[in-house]
Amino acid sequence: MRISRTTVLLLLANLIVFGFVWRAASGHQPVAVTQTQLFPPDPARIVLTEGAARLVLERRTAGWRVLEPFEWTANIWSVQRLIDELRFISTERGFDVEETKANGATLKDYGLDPPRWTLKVVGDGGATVEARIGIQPATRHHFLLTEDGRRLVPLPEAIAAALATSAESYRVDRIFEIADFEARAVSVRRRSADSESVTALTSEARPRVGRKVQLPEWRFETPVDALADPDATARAVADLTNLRASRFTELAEAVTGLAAPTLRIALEGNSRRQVLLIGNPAPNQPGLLCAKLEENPAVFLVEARDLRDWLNARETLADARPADFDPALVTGFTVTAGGRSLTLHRLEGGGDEPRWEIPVAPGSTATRRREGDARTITRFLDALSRLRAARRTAVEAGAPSVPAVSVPVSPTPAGLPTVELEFGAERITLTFAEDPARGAGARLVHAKGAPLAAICDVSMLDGGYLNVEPPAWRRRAVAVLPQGARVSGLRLTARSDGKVLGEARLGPDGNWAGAGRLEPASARRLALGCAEVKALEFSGRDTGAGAWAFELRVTDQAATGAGAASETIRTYLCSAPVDGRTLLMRDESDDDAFVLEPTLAATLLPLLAEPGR
Amino acid sequence: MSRPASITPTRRFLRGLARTCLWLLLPVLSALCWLVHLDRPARLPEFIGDRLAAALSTQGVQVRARAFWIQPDLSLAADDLTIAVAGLSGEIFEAARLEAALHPGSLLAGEVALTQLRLSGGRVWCPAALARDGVRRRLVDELSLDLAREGRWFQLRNAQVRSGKITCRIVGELPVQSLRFDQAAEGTPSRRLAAVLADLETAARWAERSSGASVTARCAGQADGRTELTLAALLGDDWLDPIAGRIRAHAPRLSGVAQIGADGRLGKWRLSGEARDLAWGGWSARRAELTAEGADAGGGELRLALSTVKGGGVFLPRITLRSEEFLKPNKHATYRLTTDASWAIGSLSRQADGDFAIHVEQAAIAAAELADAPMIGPALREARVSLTGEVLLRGISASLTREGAPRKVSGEIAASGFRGLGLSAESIAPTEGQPLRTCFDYEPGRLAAPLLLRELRLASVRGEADLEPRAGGAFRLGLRGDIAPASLDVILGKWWVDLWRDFTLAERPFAFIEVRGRWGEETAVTKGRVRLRRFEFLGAPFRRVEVSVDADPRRTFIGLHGLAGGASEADGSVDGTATWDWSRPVALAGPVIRLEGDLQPWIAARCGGAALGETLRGLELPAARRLSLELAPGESAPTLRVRASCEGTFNAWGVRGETLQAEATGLGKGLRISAHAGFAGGQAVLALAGDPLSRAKVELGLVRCDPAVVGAMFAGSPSLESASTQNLAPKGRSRLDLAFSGEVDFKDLKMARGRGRYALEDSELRKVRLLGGVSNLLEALGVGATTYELTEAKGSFGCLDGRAYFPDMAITGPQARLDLVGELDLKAATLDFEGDFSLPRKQGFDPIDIINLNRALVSLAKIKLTGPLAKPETRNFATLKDMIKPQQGKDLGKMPPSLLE
Repeated sequence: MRISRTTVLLLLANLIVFGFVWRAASGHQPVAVTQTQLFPPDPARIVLTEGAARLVLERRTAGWRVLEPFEWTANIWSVQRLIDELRFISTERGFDVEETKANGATLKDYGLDPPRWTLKVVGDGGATVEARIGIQPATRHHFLLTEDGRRLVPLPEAIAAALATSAESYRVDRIFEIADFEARAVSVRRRSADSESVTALTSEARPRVGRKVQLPEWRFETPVDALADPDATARAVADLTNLRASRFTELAEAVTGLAAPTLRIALEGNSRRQVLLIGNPAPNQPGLLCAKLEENPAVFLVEARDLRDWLNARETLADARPADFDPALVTGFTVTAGGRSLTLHRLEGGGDEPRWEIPVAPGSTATRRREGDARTITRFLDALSRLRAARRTAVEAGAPSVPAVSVPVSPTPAGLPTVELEFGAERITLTFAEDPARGAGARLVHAKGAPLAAICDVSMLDGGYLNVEPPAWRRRAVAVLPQGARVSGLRLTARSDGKVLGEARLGPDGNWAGAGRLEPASARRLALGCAEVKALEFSGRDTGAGAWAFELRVTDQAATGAGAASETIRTYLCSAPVDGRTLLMRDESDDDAFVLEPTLAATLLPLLAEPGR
Repeated sequence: MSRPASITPTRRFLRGLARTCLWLLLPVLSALCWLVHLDRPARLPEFIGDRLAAALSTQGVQVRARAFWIQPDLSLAADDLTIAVAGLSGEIFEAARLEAALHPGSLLAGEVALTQLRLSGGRVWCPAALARDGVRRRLVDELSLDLAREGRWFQLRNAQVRSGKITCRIVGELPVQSLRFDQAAEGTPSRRLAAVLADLETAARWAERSSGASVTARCAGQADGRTELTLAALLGDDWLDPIAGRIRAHAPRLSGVAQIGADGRLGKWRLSGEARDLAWGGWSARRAELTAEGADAGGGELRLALSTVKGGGVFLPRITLRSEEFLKPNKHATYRLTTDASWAIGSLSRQADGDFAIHVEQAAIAAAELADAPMIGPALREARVSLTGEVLLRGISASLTREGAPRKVSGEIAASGFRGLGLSAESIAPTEGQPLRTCFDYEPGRLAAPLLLRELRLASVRGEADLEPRAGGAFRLGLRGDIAPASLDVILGKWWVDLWRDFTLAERPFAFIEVRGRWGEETAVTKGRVRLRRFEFLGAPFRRVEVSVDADPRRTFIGLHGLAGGASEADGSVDGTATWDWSRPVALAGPVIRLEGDLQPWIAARCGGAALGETLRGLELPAARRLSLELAPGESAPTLRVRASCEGTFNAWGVRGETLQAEATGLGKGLRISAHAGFAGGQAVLALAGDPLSRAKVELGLVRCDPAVVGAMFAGSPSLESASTQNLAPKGRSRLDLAFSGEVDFKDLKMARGRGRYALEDSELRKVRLLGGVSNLLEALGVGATTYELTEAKGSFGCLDGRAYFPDMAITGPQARLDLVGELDLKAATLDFEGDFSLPRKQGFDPIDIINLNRALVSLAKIKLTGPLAKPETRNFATLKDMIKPQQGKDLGKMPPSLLE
């Protein structure tokens, strides 16, 4: 193919022009944004002068700092607000000074002769912009005079508020730079007139009985090696790390007492340590204490109440938990009371729902055992693990309440109720001593080996720590038909004369045929209820139902087969109706009488009531 | 010029096309060349703006501008630009100037891709249709933007927004994808824009609640294409919350960090803030800390901690709230509340319908703080419930309306220091150490029973309760266990108090009790059973009983089952009932007691008084006994009917009897007793009226009884044992008939007062030997002429003050007669009788009788019996003293006049 000359010329002309366009376009520098900011967009130093007072803010690697009138970490939000407002100041919004002068006004009319503030902003690159700011007497509006003195810029109210803020507002309140999650150790040295005490806490992970994975937790190192209360200590540490300086002050050392501080709190974080010195109360302000950081001469005041926990840390932070364990890890426990004991063991491979077994008689080693009530046992262990010392009002007025813990009586008196928790081969033994001073629900609970015992309200244990009667722990389900099985026959008999009060049978067609009090509808309801007979509670004593008045015979049919061979019989002895809702029962093959759960009782009770009553 | 034949039409067409394009392109490029060398914007002809507006109009976007410009960098600019979108009324965007550069390559590909955007004086409007209040409003007052695309980043040189009192500035690098218009999103562009504007309007309204904010964000691009955004915000001091009202806070501030992925999606983020000296409503907090963090835009975890919270009379040193997935609906926040002496941990969430769900995992609330709470304290005081120690909560689930009213609350509560309605752990079982603990379920809307208590335990009592917690509300209590009756006094009322007043319990009764009623009204219906062991009722000892209770406002029915008294099974038991009919006047209401069984009578009598019981202790019935008792209130005094019967031998005050049939009616001083029994070989009939403990009127009849046995009763105080050893069996040869009417004190029978008659037949009653020992000798020789037999005795007698008077005892035989007068000192068991022996003449003339020398001897005989009753001394002849003083002892045996009245 041959290309015509015209085409080639056109192509060349286009290429040449495109080259010009390309060169010009690629070398084009974007023009500045249409708006023009007066101050550098990223200030590095701001100096605000108002008369003799100077506020100097400087940006450092770690953030903004106040350099004058005191040296302290700057409040980034306050500084940022000032910077944000400076960014909105544009010369375009102003007007020429000459124009105002032409109209007969002077700088004094705008409060700029002399100005109230002088604002000097140094940018990242060293560019410095200095402006004067004044308040127009007539309107109280703020006006800025540019450095060259040629333009006047009205300022929004927001920047006026930022300028009027005191130097105190430009500093952070927090004293410690260490955050609460970073804190690893706290040491408190308290000096009194004749003694000095040291309390040290450290956060560390140490394996404990009853816990599978132990995360770092606060412990006392001094004066004794003991656990600290996790909640109270975490809160106290958080409060300490968030401790605020109320205000800075200039007081003589003799007044502040910081040469020989009464309290010295050392807070250790990750690879850094800060020490706070607390001195005397501020003059005429007993609620405020003089304080300073060890490496900063600035003296400030802190509120005394914020340090309450640390003035008496041994008491306020003492562990309130006599037994801290994971109930899911308990493999067994033994309750001992009144010279008798009862041991319950968790069955292996119980699935999601733990299964427990109990001996028939207290302390028995009989091979015949019964299944424990998982709900009752779980609730007991859960309540046991949640025991907390009650709070005791502090002796000193205004001081915080402290957990009611005390040194246990040594040796432990014999005969006290105990609960021994098993975690495989490891044990936690808890004793429960009387504490008559605190009412019916309080007991002095002590874990063997622990330095302190706790006075706890044990109401939620529901008396479990005293209960050595196996029926109390029995599984509430007395009989549960397996899947597919069903009740096929019922017979109700008065035991006094052997008279059959009612009898019903399930027909092959699935309909009930009954006579006497067990007419079909009642029989169906009763059969449905008898598929799962549950006790409301087992009675561990003679409840007065010795004279069983009725006998209920339940015939069960297995899931497979319908002949007599597939049938089994349960026989229950029933008391006369005790009240409108209560019925006592006993499986004939079982020694434990029980109060029937209300649903089945509501079905059965009308059948037992004498006609006409 | 002819065309070469080799050029095909197709090639010819292509060549022409190329040449035409080159011709057209050349002026365009020339214009561009002029433009880029012009170094100032060039205003585009109006028709271009019109064409552009028309083209966009077909897309539903209406653009108007004062002028369109093309700038030397080939970007387009517009002055006084307004944009409106079809379907949204009015302009939605205004800008004083907009400059935009598009990527030419993408543009040729038909795609709009920004490479640079500058904006100043921008404003965003929310159309009236989208505004919540239906009024068009400005969402953004001032918007300045300067961004340029650099590779995969948008370089955000400056973005400043001012909306009301809120200013925001963002600088840094953003991933290109973050600003890409998502073509795949659902809905038309206008619909999506409307959604964005609606969201903005919501945000603006939300922001309006604050008194201002200054937000600064900086984006820093990472090598992997992500952007890290840091945010700092200083908020105004006020916040208007729709629920809490105006919240004031000092220097609230917010800071955050977020990662924006290369695809523009939000990655991990964290927001933290704090404020001091908060105040809202009547509440205040010294400090608030907020932390929120998440892994994406879908949600995250929120933590809020308030310290030193005060309000409503409550002081909470610390509250912490924690919420996971809080941005998603129906997610919950966990909290921890602490006061000086209380604490609670749990969670709360807001449901889709605006309700709140609060869960208290565990809490320990100091009772003192609870009592000081403004709502709870007065309610407790009104209900006269006092709490001490701690109230423990576990597993509480509460559903509250948005106004804070409870819809449903359930869980477990324990109050160790509960005292109310007369119930307390100490009152029920002081030694148990088991305070009140229960699971509860409260649902105000449930008509039957808003408050259900299950697995209730107070000391030794367990049970359930269905309650309507208001004055006059209905309640049902089902209690079982060892119970101290007094602990239910307040709940069950006066009848219960009265019932137990006369009980002295050695063991606490085990009770099943069901009570239905209304608070503050004495209309409770009580049913149940109480098993008592080792107790005393009205001083009478009982071993056990099972009491069934069926009480309602109209009547109270107490069933007594197996009321076993005394100390052993031999003391017997009774079954029975006690009923009160409250429809009758109080005095007549009851109890009506019916008992039947084999209880020893003295145990039943002991209920009537210790003295009566002790008196009847002397009456011991054999095992085959029956006792029935009916007691009913009467107009003036209660009426009593007691029937006692037995087969076989019984012992009455040491005297054996046979086959007793006794009936007592009346009570106290009005008691009438009639008894019939085999006694001393005969029959005894006793009728007693009056108070047997003081002086009862007695009519005693003995028929054909053995006088020796009867005499033994008066001779001493034989006990049962001594009676059994004595030979008191009737001998069969003597017979006593006796009728006595008088007053008897059963405590001291010897002090009986009254008169009677007697008749004694005994073949060997007495032999009178006129010659004493000589008569014995003669008798032995077969001569009985000087011996006379006496076989019958009869006469009257009277008893007074321990003495029995016999004024006319006549002892007769076939041939002789002995007339005696005398007295018995029952206390000293002595007698003093004297009399004359006579030989009565037969009717008609008998010559032998005339020469009977015995008559001469008899005339000399003076019978005198003195000394102990058991062994009296007998004299048969008169002494000299008798002859000298014949009048001495003339009053012997005479009944005192008082006895004769």
